[in-house]
Amino acid sequence: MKFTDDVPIYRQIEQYIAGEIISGCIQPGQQLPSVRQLALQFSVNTNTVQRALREMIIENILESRRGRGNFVTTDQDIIEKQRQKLIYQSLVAMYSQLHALNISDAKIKECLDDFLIKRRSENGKHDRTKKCLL
Amino acid sequence: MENTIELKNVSYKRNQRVILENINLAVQKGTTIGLLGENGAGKTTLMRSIAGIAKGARGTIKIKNEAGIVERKALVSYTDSLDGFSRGTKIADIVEFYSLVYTDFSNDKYRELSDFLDFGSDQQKLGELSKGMKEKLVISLTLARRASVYLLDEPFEGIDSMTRKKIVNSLIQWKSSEAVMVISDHYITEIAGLLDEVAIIKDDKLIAQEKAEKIREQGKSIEDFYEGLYEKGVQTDDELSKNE
Amino acid sequence: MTSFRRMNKVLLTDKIKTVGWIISAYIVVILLSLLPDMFNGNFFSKQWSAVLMQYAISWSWLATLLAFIFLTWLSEKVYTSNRYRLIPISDTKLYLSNILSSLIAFILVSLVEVIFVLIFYLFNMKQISTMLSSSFSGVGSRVWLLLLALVLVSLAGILFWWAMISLIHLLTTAISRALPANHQTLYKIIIYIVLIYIAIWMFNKLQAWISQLAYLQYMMYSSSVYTGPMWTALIMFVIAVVISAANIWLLNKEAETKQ
Repeated sequence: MKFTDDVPIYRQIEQYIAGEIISGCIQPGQQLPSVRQLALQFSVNTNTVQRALREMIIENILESRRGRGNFVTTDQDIIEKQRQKLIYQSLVAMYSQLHALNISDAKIKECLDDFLIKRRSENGKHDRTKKCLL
Repeated sequence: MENTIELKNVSYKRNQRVILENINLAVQKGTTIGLLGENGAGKTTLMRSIAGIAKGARGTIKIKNEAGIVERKALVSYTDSLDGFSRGTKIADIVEFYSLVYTDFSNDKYRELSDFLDFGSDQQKLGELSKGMKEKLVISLTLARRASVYLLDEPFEGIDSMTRKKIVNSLIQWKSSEAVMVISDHYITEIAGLLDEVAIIKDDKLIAQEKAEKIREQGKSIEDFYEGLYEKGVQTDDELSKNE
Repeated sequence: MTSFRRMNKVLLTDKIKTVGWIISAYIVVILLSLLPDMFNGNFFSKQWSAVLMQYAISWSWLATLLAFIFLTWLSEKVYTSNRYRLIPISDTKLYLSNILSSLIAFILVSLVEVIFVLIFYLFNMKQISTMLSSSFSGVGSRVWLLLLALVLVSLAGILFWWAMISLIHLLTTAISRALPANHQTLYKIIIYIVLIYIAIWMFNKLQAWISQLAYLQYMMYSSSVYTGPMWTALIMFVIAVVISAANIWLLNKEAETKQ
């Protein structure tokens, strides 16, 4: 895992784990690796991983079971809310980048449609399965 | 929370030169802190003072509230460069020495570390080890003690990046959650993820101590923060010379 | 905290290893010296134990000197090496353990030397007792007392010199730490020369004083042949203790390890 060094690492870890849950790499109800294993995987301090997990527990994405570890929530509403949040965040990032280039909303929509059509035709050639790291 | 390391007004002079000036530092239990600064800024002397092998440091140095030198030595595990052993000494003999002399040395922990870092047979002689292998040995010996404070003095100096990654992972895996780890270095990209806090030492003074995530929350990388502070210092020096 | 016993074990292991080399070399040299005698048959005569002892004694000074030099060197290294100074043990215990382990190793070398004399004695008991009773008539059994005195003086002397050398070493380390970083080697050489000069001057004064004291003894008691050396040993020992106290203070407050 590579992190950008100008955003808090615990936030990046949160995002990463949320991404893994949304993409289905980690199933609802599944147990997460231990803090130390995660720290090793990310090459970061255990305190940082702990902080990321703590935040996710507060947001109810994870559920901490005393003495047994951390589990992904089985509440589909929460996961769905996370998915919406992530989609929105990605769109905001993309939109603000294009907007900064002075591209009109109509043009953006047109390009996005073209892009999706093109992707669909290429789907057969590319392996679409996402690599799961956790 | 309880401070594991507490330094108050620590000053140190050697050879008619001030090397540390009024250092105040408090490090909480469980923290990994990077001690950053250029060569000659005083990092090693600060570590030697904490470990109790630099003499004549003024001020108070406490480890878990213990100020006595012998008590501190029992609580602190410092990376010794093994210069006290002759080049012909076998690794096995060095391990034997450590396990005899340090009551908190765990042979099991050493085995795990040395297997993980993989620097070969313990029948090798010290003089036969490459720089990277020797550093791996030093790290294994240092972390195999069940100490409260680990002082790693430039553990990545002159080490290739593969070895560096391996060492970083060993630090993540084998540091107990209560222990404090101080890592000194003069460049930090590789260890940035490892640090809870950074302390920056410049011209014999501790000029900053800050939480790593707090720096990133301000949209800065630790490197920016470190370099920013060093440059700022240069500017003030220039201004001073202008005023003269 | 590291115990005194463990510290001793560690230091002794190192020193015995070094001394083991010296003892092996000593025995090899004696055997080599015997080679000519084996060819001309001397060694296979009744005189073999005398021949053996003669070589053993003539090489013993070198073995003793080497043992002294190497043990001194190993001991002094302890005070400036992180390897030992990081160990959680008080400076007093470290110092005492260092001296004790050197002493044991040194005695080991002396014992090997004595073994050759003992071999000679065992095979020539009769002649020796006759010789002793004729040349030391009247002294008789007290010859053992004289030997004991000799051993005590040697031990006290060794302790004295080790303490003195440590004092010079630690003082130099302490003083050079306070002097500017440039020309450190030059400073150290000058300090060493001055301190060694002072040490020798003091030793000469001391010797003169002790011999006066021994003379005084002689005036008062007729048995001074035995008590004289005992007094010398005692005085040397007391001085060694005083210097050692200074050394421990220096270790604690001033002398730090090399970076």
